[in-house]
Amino acid sequence: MIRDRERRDLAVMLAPYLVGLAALVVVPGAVTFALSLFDYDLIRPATFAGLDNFRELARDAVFRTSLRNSLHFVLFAVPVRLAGAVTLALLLHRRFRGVGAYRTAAYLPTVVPDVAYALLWLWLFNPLYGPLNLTLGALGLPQPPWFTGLGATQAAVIIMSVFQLGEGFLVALATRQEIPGELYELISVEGAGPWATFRRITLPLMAPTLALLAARDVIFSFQATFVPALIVTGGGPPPYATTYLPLFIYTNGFQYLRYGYAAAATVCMILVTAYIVLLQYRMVRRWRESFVV
Amino acid sequence: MATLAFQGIRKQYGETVALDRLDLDVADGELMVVVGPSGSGKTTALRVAAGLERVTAGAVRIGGRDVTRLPPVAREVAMVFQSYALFPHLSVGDNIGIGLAVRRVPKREAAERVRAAAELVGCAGQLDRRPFQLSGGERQRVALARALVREPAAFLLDEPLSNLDAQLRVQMRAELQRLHRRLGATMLYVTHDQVEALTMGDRVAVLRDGALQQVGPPDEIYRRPANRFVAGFVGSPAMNLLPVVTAADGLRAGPFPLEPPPGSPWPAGRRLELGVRPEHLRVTVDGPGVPAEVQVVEMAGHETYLHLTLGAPGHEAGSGSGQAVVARVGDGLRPAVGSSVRVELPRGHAYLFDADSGETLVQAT
Amino acid sequence: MSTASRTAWRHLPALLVAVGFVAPLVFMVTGSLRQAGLPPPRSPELLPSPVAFGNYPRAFELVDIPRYTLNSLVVVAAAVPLTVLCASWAGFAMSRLPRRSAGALVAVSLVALMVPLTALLVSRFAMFRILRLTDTWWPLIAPSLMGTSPFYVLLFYWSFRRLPAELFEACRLEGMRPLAVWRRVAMPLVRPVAVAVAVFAFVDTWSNFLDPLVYLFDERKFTVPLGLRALSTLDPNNYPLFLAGAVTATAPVIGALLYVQRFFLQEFRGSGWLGR
Repeated sequence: MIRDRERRDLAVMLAPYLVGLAALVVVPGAVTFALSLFDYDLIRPATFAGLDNFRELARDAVFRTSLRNSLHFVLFAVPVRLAGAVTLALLLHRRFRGVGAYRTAAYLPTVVPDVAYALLWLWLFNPLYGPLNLTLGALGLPQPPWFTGLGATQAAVIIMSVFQLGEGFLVALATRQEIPGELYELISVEGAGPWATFRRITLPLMAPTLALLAARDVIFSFQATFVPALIVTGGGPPPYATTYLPLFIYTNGFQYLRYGYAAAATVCMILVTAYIVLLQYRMVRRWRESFVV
Repeated sequence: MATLAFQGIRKQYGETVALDRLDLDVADGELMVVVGPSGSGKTTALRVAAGLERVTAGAVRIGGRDVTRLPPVAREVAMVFQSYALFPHLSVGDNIGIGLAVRRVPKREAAERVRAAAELVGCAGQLDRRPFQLSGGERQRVALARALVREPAAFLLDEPLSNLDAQLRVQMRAELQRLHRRLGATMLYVTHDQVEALTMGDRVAVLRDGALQQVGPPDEIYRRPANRFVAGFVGSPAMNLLPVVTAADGLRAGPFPLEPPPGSPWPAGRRLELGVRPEHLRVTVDGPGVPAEVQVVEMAGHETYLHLTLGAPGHEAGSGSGQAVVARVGDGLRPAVGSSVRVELPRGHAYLFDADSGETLVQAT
Repeated sequence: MSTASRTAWRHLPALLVAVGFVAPLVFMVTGSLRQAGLPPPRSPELLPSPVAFGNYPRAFELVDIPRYTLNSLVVVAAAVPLTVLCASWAGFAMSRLPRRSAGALVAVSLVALMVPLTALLVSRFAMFRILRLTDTWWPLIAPSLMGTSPFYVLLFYWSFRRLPAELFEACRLEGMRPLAVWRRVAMPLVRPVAVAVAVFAFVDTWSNFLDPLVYLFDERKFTVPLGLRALSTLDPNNYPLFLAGAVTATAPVIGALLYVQRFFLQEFRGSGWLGR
């Protein structure tokens, strides 16, 4: 029957995607979990190590620092990026003249290739003659010791990531625009001010998408620090102030050739990420249940 | 052209039965209208004929050939969708000829066939335009032309006129009929509009809740309905229905006394309902008949519809009063709202239905 | 509030924000125009004086930027069409499947979206090494098979789902097989989405730093981001130089964004960002 022929056509069209997913996501994912139980340097055959890698990670001060740094980064960067994305969306959702240019401007930094972006900030943040500190100095403001000071360097990485909130901005924008205008007219007739409107209409209706965005941002933020750490801060200032998990994994895997060890660190990263997302999910669910319209 | 037959078609979606043993034969060259309210299964029947839905049981035959297992393209049917389903990005000409292009008909022959089909429906001058540039009626013609160019064994039309405004609808009804006569095409036409059904069909099939109620020429459906549903569905305004009660002096329907038709006794032991069409109630200002109060006067051009409450204003209890009926009167009578008129039910124009099964027991003469 | 001041009230914050976001990029360009070799500036300067364009040819001398650009273009030329093809095929097939199967595939795609790339880095590398495909461009092109990102597949899926069902039924009646439907009807009707996916895939592939870093060892095979990094390590303090390289690497991508932004950033209608 020709219906089977239709089905065959559809299967053919799905095949590249499914093959790609299997070969590039599913299998490598499974392999990562498996690899974490081995010692492997790509030259000699892998030797089974059981949970040794994990035990060593627990003792590894660099790993603990990396984990702490990554958590610290995620804790700060994600809320700021989310708040920034929502604020921008609320600022630029109406259609007035030139709004397209403003939206494009906000999205521009996101599009810059990672390397170029990192090099740009390497210069902007230069403590002695980068434009940022020079301008601060000219205004009589303190000039933070980027790259040499612990807190300042970590703040620098966070600032870098905040400028790239373009994707979240787009999603928040689309979400905001899907809220029917009648709801706002209704509540303005009831005499609600801007904060009440935000709390009662905007936030609850945007919340589901924002929750998804937050979850994705947590996952993304755990790895977004790689290029900045590699190129801008080099993982410093010593010792390891901006060595985040991705850098740790990369270094152990591709520089020390300890692939099993790196895989074990990856597994830890996945578990931590999943746990944070789960916490987020619970928080959002509890908030939604407490919200009585 | 060919015959189209539904044999014992049953279509079930999980628990819901959309079609329950449909047996329907469409003759070669016949325009069969399938009519019914929403959910009656008429669209399902059409889609089953097209091959867009699989049947749970039964067979579909086109030209005698069992096509139940065949996909739409192999059945040699063409369909006109309610929304026309024109491809927005193609020109009118490309829309009409899409099937020919898929089958790799040589360009010159295809262009010729497209032009011929376009001329038949009257859109030959628009072959280069795009659907969004056309009006509703023009788009419908293009959809028709696309069906025509396939030279199918049967045409399937899914409420083709329901998206048009009233005047255009009347115009297109006539055009479709003209087209049908010219082509001698076998057409299965689905609609919820009973006026379309009566005016267009060679035969009309009435569906309700997936079951066929009656099939026959429009005249027969209108004048000799098989049951209360068909009687009430066809005809506008709807047939008046009055429950029959036993009174001291015999049987009454509302305030109207009933006499048994000559030669046959009353069907005993059943609850009955009386049906009479609005045009058969005789209304006068002070002639024979029962009194009634005028509630609403609807003036529809050359006809007037009176919504009446039977019984004199002030309601005498026990005389079967208080019931609402609609009567159609001619030009001359224009009573005021609230005034009193007299209504007569002439002999031979009443239908008698079994109140429980709906079956027609006595037809009007 | 008068109309004039209301307009100002609306524009001012937006303008400030826009300036804030564009400022770093402006500095990137102006910084690249500074004469190399001069002592570093003592005060913030918007435009250096004297303006020197010499950093650009110098960057081209130090690292083989033309060659890297060519390499990047080759990878992009392979990856982008492949991405659009595979993503639209998958999205279309999913849109034709019964609701439950499609739902399962959507769920799988969403989960795949959430998987961090770092988690797959080591294993993918091991896999390509076993296949002896390291130090080639194949690992860079391979993700195009799955549409570079499951997100693009989902984007096509949602777009195709929005097309009226009767259109596809008409196609079935005319005897069109799925591939013909995709080619003749579905794709022409989602052209803005296809363009957007192409542009995003271009940006992703062009900017990709991690994969070239991991897979490419032969300097002659480097792509632009990798070449840029090499440039920056050659003379780490010569910031006008590597800013010039950064500008060169960024320009095509900015151009692509400016082209596609009218589909997504201007034409926002209430029907969501796929509205046309």
